[in-house]
Parts: sequence; C-alpha cells; structure tokens
Amino acid sequence: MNDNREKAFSYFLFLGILSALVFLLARANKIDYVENKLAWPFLVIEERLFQKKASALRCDPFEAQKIANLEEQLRKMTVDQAKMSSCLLENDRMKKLLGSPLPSDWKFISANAVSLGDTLRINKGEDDGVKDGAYVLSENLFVGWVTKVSKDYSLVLLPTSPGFRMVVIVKKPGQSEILARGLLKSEGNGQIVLDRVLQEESIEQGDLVIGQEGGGDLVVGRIEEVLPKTANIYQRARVLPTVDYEKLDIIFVRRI
Amino acid sequence: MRLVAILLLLFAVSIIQWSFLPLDIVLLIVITAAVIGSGLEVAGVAFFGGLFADLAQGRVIGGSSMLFLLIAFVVYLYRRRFDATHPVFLPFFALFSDLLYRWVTQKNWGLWQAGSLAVLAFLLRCALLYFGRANKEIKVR
Repeated sequence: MNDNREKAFSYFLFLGILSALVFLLARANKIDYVENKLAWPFLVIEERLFQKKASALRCDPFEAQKIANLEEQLRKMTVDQAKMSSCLLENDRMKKLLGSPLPSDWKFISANAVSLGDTLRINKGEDDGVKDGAYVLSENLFVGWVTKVSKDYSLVLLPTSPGFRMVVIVKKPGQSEILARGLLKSEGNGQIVLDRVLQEESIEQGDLVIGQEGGGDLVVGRIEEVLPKTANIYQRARVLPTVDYEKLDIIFVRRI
Repeated sequence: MRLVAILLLLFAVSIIQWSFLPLDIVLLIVITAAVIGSGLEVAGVAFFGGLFADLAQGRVIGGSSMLFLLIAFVVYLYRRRFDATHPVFLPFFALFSDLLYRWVTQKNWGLWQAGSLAVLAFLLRCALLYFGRANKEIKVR
C-alpha cells in the first residue's frame, strides 16, 4: 500500500517538475516551435467549430428551411465562385471600415475569429504582421487589442476579458460633444463597467462609450444602466458591448 | 490502453469545451480520474488535461498542468482519508477546484459555472456508482 503511495507520489513529482519546466520554457518563448506544432490541430478544429457556431447564431431559426435551401445552392457553386463570395464579404467589411471616421493612414490585416474563451483567438499571427498591442475592429467597432502573438495565431483581449482597462469618453449618439470621461474595465463574468466618471458629469442609458486611439474614435459599447449614486466622488455605469463576440467572423487587426 | 482512451477523450473534450461550453469539463475529468484511477493514470490525466486545456485556449503551456496536478494530488490523497463515494466528496472538490482554477487563470470566481460543475460532478458520481465502477475500484485500492 505504502509502495503504491510512494510510486504515485513520484509520478506526481516528476510530472509536476516537467510541467514547471515546460511552463518556464514556454514563457521565455524557447519552445515556440513545439508549441505551435502542438497547437495546430486544436487551432484547425476550433476554427471550424467556432465558424459553424457563429453562423448558426447569426441565423434566424424561423428561416431555417430557407437557409438550408440557400446552403444547398451554395454547395453547388464552383470553387471560384466560393472564393469570390468570400472576397466580396471581406471587401464589404473593408469598405465599411474605410468609410468609418478612422484616420486614413490606418492599415488593417483581415483575420477570422477562431475560438472564444476569456480572450478571442484569431487565425493571424506574427507571420501575417500582427503585433502585440494592435487594435482589433469589426467594421468600425472596437473588439479589443492583441495581447499575445504566436507564429500562426494571436489572442485578443476583449473588454469582457479579466484585466481589461481602457480610458474612454462618453458621447450622445450623433453628437460630437464629450459628456464625460472615465475608465472602462472588466468586472469578470462578461460584465463591463464604466468607472471613474465624476458625479457632476451627466451620463444616461444609451450614451455611447468610445475609446480614442491615434485620432480615431472607436465605439466600444452603450451605457446599459447608470448605477445608483453613492457618497463616492465617482459614478459608475454598466456598459453593453456593441459587438457580439460569439457572432464574430471576419475582423480587422490594425497594422502597427 | 485505458490511459490512451482517456487522453483521446481529453483532447476531444478540451476542443469542444473551449468552442461551446462554459463549464470546465476537463477539470471534472481530472478530478474524477483522481477519485477512481491509479497513481500513474491520475498524474497522466492531470498533466495531459492541463496541456490540452492550455493548447486549446492559446495560453502559456504547462501552467494548467501544474494546477491540475496539484488539484489531482490533493483529491488523490483525500480519497483515502474520506469516503470517496460520499455524495459530497466529488461535488465538493469540483466546486473548489473550479473556483481556484478560474481565479488563477482568469482572475474571476465564476460562481455559477463552479456550481454547475459541482451539480454535474454529483450526477457523474451517481452514474459511476450506478455502473458499479467507482465503488469497486475504490474498494480494491
């Protein structure tokens, strides 16, 4: 019995030391090649599953039959037509992005969402020119910024991700006047809160929460509810993101 | 052979989990293995479960393995001290392990996910007892 326990203890000890070693080497980017090779099957399968899930979420359940017919027609299209359709979709998104009030010198890399956990994984990495800290947009809406770049993929820190913090301004829709300034931060469990807004500043439900970066206004979300005032010098509000992260497909990473 | 089957299961579950489910099923498999498995199986499942979880999420690999090994080791030790077939044993460890894991990796507690995992652990315990597996294995050891 004791023999078994000692054996079990040695397995745990050995694998514990091995895990710590792997962790330290991976943190120091010494085993990137192995890590990328190991992550590849996960990346491929997750990308397919995520895209299927995202397209299913975008569908209206009452239109299921119609969509099934359209899908059947789509299957019959030639490879060239399929490629062209994909390019058109990307161009459409790009047009909207270019038509938005963003600085003209901003350049973008298009990418696909692969999986969504506490961060969003995208299928473009170091090899495609993605850099740490780059802003990620969907059309002209703020999605997040790149927090980790690997060879073939990157992780995007979303406003709902733990540790997210961003200085933002508040405006009424269609108006240019700044109503308030504050700090947007994640409260965990997908909750986003606008904090550090002075009590004398007037914010209301429906106001736009906007991040400013390099002369561009990036809409992050809308105020869902202004939280009850306290004796604190700051007021807080709950914010609803404008992007549904589960339905993302093509997104754009700012080239820096 | 059993270990290979469990590893394949872990691979599939880790992909499905990060694509669809908000619950940490990989952790539940690790804890369940710690209740019914041998020393080598428990350590192997914890190590590879953690590795797959990190690879599926794009995290720095090795971190979850360390945490899973620690959790599995504690469960493995306590299953000898207490009655591992008790209705509270598996849900208790599922709840607190999930809270710990979420806090370390995501800096939030995720109470409802941990609670749901505990309920799932209870159902799993009932299923294991029903099939006679857990009871028999624990008595043998």
